[in-house]
Amino acid sequence: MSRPDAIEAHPATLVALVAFTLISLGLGVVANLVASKRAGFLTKYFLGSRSLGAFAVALTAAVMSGGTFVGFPSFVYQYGWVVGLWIASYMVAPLTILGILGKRIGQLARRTGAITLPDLFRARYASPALGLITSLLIMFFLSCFLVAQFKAGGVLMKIVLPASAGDWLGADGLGAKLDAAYLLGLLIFTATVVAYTAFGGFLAAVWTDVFQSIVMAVGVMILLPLALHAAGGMEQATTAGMKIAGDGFAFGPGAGRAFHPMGLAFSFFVMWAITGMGQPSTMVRLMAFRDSRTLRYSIIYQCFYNAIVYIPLIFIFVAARSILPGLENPDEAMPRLVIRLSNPYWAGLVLAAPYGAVMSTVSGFLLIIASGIVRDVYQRFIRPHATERELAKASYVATIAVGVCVALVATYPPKFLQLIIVFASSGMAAAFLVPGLMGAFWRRASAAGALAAMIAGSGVTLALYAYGSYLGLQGFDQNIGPKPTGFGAYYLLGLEPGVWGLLVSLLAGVSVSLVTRPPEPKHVAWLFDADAPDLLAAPTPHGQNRSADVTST
Amino acid sequence: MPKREDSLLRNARREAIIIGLVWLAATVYCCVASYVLGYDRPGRPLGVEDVRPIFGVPRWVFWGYLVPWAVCGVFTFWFAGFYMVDDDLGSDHAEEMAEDPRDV
Repeated sequence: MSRPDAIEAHPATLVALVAFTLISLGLGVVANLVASKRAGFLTKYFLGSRSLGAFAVALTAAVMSGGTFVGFPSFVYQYGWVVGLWIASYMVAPLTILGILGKRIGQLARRTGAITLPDLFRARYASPALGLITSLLIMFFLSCFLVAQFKAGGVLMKIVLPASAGDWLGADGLGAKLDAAYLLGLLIFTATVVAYTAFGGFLAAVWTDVFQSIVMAVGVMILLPLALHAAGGMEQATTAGMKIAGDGFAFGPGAGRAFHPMGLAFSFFVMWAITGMGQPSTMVRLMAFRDSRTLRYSIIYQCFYNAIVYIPLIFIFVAARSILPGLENPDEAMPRLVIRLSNPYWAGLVLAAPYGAVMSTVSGFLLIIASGIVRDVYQRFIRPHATERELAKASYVATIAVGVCVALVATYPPKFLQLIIVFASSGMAAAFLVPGLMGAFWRRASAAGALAAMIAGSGVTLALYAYGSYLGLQGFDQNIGPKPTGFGAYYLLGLEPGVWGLLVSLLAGVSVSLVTRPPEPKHVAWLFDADAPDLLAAPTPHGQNRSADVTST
Repeated sequence: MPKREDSLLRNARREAIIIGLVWLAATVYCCVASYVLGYDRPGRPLGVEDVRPIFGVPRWVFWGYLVPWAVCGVFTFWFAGFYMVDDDLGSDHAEEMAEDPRDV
């Protein structure tokens, strides 16, 4: 069955994308071989034995996902130059995301032996309940995020598959609601990313991330001169965009609607640069870098990388408005522009950029959820004395099971890719950033305070999204931000819900910490003072020395 | 005996405060400059003649977020390259914890 709306990709584009996929799989195999030479399965599978170099930290901690190459270009195409301000906090994001918490998280993770974020919170606050709630919240928000990413992966693969690909799945038997070509794309995407992630673990995710990030940067560099040439330069592109979309294309708050009023401009400086610190995927990288020097260099590399990827993307998709003036679905701006401007082989390479961004996000997040299941549920509650072999098997099974479950949900894909990404990012930051900051820098922060910060922050964010979605379903439009599509945010006083979530989380964390019992002085001394006592002599949550408590719980 | 705070903690806190101030400065400058130079508002509709391109991009884009982006890049290079301290992160106890995580 052919698709009337299909983008006509040349077979060579598919060949280039398949080659890219095979290289990613190959890196997974090599990572597995390298990792198998290192001791300690859990540390190497979920944290790469804390051996990440500067290049790897910089490129894998870059806040890129399917949204970077699908949702973001779509926004620039629709609303114009103001979307550059939407992303502009990336100018300071490497400093904030890696520099504020980096060294302290790295130190605390080593001192407590933490492998996962729940491990870290549990040890810092001496609270098993906090660890469990952290795990559950991570699983909830990351699962939402992953569904959106799987959809992006399926859509991108569908675009380069032959028009008749849907017939291979027996499209006629699937019913009107299912798109056979999308399902085939989703199947290929799922098989690839789950295979290399499950097999190679954290190192595979990181190595493929690095490879894919390089491909993304090269893809953008290729597209920039092609787009500028086709549009006749930036000035021409701006003027043409204004004729097509209205004068707002060149100014704030954006073309057609108030996409980015000042309240949201401030919000998104908080959203990307500050909430990026609170993402579990970022914190895991901060637990995995090699040393302080590595961290410093990775900040510089990421700063350079952001500048050569995001600024060109703004230029490219401002130009795209005049090159492809009447796109019905702006989410297709990237693939359509690539196929229009490049020769088929270049197109395959450039299309690999968004595909790589989605794959790298998915692989990292799959491992975070799997580590939560293995470390925080299986090992803690079901098999505390599991052997390395059992843990290895559980890790492989958990990674595959999570991937398959998310793919099944994505067979009925959500429509709001970028909004779901913003929602999940806001929710995670509102839940984890304040407990992370308090835990790293404030001795007085208590487990009750961290718990209050987590629940209040994520609760407020969820409530504002739920209310926004309710209003959206009633047909109410606040006329700011992206067009409502049913699922959406409620911008209280014009600010993004994540900002309110963070504010409430901070208030709750500080006030509850101050009115509850202070943490055990010996425990805090272990984490905050020089000449800290030896780990085995440090107190446990049960008030005993660790050496006396190894098997008591 | 008075407590002696970990030197990494002291350095990390000082660096975090500086980074926070830089973030605040970037946020305030970008929002104010963009609003003043390039936001359509009541009583001041903007049109083609207000684009006033610099190197092909609208003037407000150039001064509102491209120049600050470059300035932040230079600052980041100096701060991370020369100012931040190479602190020792300590030894890793993950192996001890992996044996039985319940007592952490």
